[in-house]
Amino acid sequence: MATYFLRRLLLGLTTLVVITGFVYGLARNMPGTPLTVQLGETDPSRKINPEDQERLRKIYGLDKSWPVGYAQWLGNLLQGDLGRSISRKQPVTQLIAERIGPSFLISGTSLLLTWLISVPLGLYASARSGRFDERASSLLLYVLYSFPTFVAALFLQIIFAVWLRGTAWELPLFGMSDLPADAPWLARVGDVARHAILPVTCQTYVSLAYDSRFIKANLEEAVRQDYIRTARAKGAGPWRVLVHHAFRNTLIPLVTLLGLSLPALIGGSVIIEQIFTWPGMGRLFFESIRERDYPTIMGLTLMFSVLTLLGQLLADMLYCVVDPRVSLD
Amino acid sequence: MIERPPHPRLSPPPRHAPLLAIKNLVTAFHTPAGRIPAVDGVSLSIERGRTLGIVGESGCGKSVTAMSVLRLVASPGRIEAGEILFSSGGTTLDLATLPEPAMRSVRGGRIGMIFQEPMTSLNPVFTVGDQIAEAVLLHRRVSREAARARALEMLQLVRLADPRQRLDEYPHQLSGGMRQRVMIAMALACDPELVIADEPTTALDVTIQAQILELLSELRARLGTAIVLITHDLGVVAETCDDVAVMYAGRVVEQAPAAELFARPRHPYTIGLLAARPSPGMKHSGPLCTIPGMVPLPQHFPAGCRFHPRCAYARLPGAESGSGRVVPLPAGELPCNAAVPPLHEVAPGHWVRCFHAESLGPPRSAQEIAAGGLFS
Amino acid sequence: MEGSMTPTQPMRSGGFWAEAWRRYRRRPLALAALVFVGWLAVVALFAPAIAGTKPVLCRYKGHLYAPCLAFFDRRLEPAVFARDRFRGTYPQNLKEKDPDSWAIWPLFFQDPYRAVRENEWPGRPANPARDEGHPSASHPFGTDQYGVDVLAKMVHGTTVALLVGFVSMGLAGTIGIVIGALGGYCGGWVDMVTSRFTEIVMCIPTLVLILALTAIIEKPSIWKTMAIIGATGWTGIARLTRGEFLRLRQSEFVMAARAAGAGPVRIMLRHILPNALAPILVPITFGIASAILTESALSFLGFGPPPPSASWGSLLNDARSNYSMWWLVVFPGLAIFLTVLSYNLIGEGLQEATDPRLREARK
Repeated sequence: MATYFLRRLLLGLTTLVVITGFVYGLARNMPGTPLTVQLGETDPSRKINPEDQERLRKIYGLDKSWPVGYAQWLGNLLQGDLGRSISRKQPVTQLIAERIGPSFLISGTSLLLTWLISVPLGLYASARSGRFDERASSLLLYVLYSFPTFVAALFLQIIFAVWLRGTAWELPLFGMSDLPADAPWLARVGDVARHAILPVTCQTYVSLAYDSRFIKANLEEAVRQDYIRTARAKGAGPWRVLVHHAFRNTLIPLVTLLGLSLPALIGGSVIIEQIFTWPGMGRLFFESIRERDYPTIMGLTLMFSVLTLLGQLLADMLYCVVDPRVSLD
Repeated sequence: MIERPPHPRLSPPPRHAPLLAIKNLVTAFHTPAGRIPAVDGVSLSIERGRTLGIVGESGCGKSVTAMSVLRLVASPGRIEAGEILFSSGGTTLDLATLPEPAMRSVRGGRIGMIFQEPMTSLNPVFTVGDQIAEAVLLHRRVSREAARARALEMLQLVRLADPRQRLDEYPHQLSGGMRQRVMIAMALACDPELVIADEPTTALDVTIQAQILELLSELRARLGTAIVLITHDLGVVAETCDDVAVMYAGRVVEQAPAAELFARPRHPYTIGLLAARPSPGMKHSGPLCTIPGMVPLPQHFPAGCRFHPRCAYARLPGAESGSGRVVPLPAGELPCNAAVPPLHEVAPGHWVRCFHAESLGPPRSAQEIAAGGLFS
Repeated sequence: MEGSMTPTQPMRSGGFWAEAWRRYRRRPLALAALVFVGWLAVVALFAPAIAGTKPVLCRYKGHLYAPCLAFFDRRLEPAVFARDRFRGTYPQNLKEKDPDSWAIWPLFFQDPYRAVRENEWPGRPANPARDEGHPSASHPFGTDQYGVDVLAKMVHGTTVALLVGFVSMGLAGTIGIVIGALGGYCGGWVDMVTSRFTEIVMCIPTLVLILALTAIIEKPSIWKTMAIIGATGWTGIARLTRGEFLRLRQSEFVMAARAAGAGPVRIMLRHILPNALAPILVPITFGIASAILTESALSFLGFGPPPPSASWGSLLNDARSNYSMWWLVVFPGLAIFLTVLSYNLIGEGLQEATDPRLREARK
């Protein structure tokens, strides 16, 4: 057990160094620097004078070659310092901490909804496999699964924010909240919830379609096994056979899926947050790439990679819990 | 567990009340390629406390018959006709038409089942103890602890080493023979009146096979459970069964007490099977006898007697048909390829599905036939 | 367990793929998807003849030309038209500069890259711009902000949608198969290295990698986008190939080939690969669907190839600046959706047709 974790840790650290080094190299080689991108956008009156520019270049390590800059970043990381965002003038850790909440609000709600709906849906679909209602619902899910999120998001925006404007069904187009910070908290919660409906719907439907199909496929695989016949020969009813015997076995592939959803749970979705201008992690990443904000790019990359590795570890550990044939050693 | 006296093998219970009587059972699979009658008019009866062997080659419908009794035939398959009369506790149930909830209390409760593949027939994610206890909990109103105690008792009964420890082990930690013992423990956990064992030893090593068969015989003697043993191995039947039913192409062609069948087989197919069997007592060291031809596929079952294309005794109207010898058809006799011979009793308890059963029996024994090389 | 399973029918003999095709044909949706993709290919191939402003074929000053080919590549535009100062406007110039000329015009006279001006086609008004451009008889799918016809854009965008799928998955498939095959067949340290490498690449979130790579390239073009999608999308294929090669390496026919003296390359290419192809083809087909999605998502986010290339996703991006122009969402959105759906259906059909386990179950 201990050797297993040690091996995983070493492998994980190597992976992290390779990934962050690679992304740092990529980021530094993007055309333009945060200073030039910013300079191009700000008005001439606020132009940074050459001395200041030079000072800034020094501070952010832009005067050195990228391997040296990377080593510097790594050294700071070891002291727990992710650096300061260039474009936002804030420590990266603080920036990330601010964005985790909104991202988690969307992804967490969506993940919860997905599992709450897709598990019963998968069970229902395999219990009624081949009947008309199951075939119809499976086809619908299949269509949903192929429906691109951003297209759906745009459709929903047009319907709820443009066509239904002025009706009770109108939903906000952008952002997380329209109310000022001093509004009563209940009103603010309601407002955020109204803003979250469309992004959550968009994030949920694709994973819902995917997960319920995944559960159904695995259940159908499981019910073909000999032990299902044994369970029926014991006198177990169809529901018990499906839930207790078959579903318990499909948990084995399901926990892998769950582990893999960890990065998205906290990291959010670039596309959805971008479309709905949701102040989350995905949007932060998207913007930091556009602004060449190296420290933020690196901080987020590190976080995504750590989450991915943790997700894999979590999946492996859960795997051992649900499958007695597998042990960590 | 109450010790019961060994069941007297030589005094069978009254014959008029069979534990299970299958009458004209038809089970067919509806596939895109058409209707495939895997079981086509099977009639069988099993006496209380006895062991019935069902023998036949692959695809003869013996497993489907067994699955039909518990109504576990997989999806495209359906019981289309016939009765499966199960006399239990003073009442007789027709398992072919019994509503599903009532059927569930029969499965595992009154009829236990043991499958061929011990490696895959146990659920990999539950402990052995849980799986046996589940069988108890499904049919008895007892606490979890009592069910667990019963599971332990069953593991002791099937003589699994370290039963207390095995209780909390998972199937993958056991060997094939041990798993089959667990399957037997599970099948017997609710004291069923009948256990159906579908080729319980086929997937096991030869030495383990003998142990499992011995265990089954012993348990039957101790508990008085009737057993249906499905096998393709005549040796197994000879050692363990009281009665034998021989199946061919979806039908029972002969049923008789084991001793009677081995001594005086009446159906040409049975005669052929016995002759094709190597026996240690055989002095003759020549080649083994074989039955010419192949078992027909269900969608190509021949008309009339299904064995006639391979039968040396078949009487056909012309000479053109296969291996049949040209025998002039006596007036009034039906040709083997036109009419289905009925299953009729030729001696007490000895049923045969052949027009010529009377003329074929009874004096010849299997050994004689083998020596004489009736089929070559 | 014999008997309880459906008995086998005598199989008509035929190769593995003939058999798979026979099973594939039994699925009407998968077949319809294949027809749809075939139809898209025809549209992509004949795009300049379907919608365009340049003659498919014309006779000008005694010579035959096919100026419509310029839509595939600017260099294919015959030099004579540039010399004669056509400036891309053919209908009037042809008649003016050579009264004897004749031309075969595209089915739909609209340009995917610019708005058609007033009287460019005799007697036809200029394309409406902004939210004036509702779908109408002359513009079935409407026009965009600048008056460019959406249908013409979409017809020309078909090429991109199809190419993205094939080129990027061709690349991903090649990388994946090579890395997976090496790891699976050689084992040992080679397997160690390739497996670790695959794992590391799997750890980088794909969109992050794609965005970073897209940001670094100097001159974005549709080909570079395809290359990036391909270069990041091979991990699943590599893992699967490795598994298949690992399994088949120990099979009897590979032993036999080795015993017959076949070299490792020959064994990998001639003996193992054809047998491993069916399971590998399935994720490649699904990969085509996701490559199309990725490309349109990138274009939608504004990270796609620059304006002259007409990707369906970039149309959606235009829609974001004016939500009242719903036709900019509906038509390209449906096109992306139908194409992705088709590839998913084809992938699933392929899976069901070639999976031996499923075959057993649904005989």
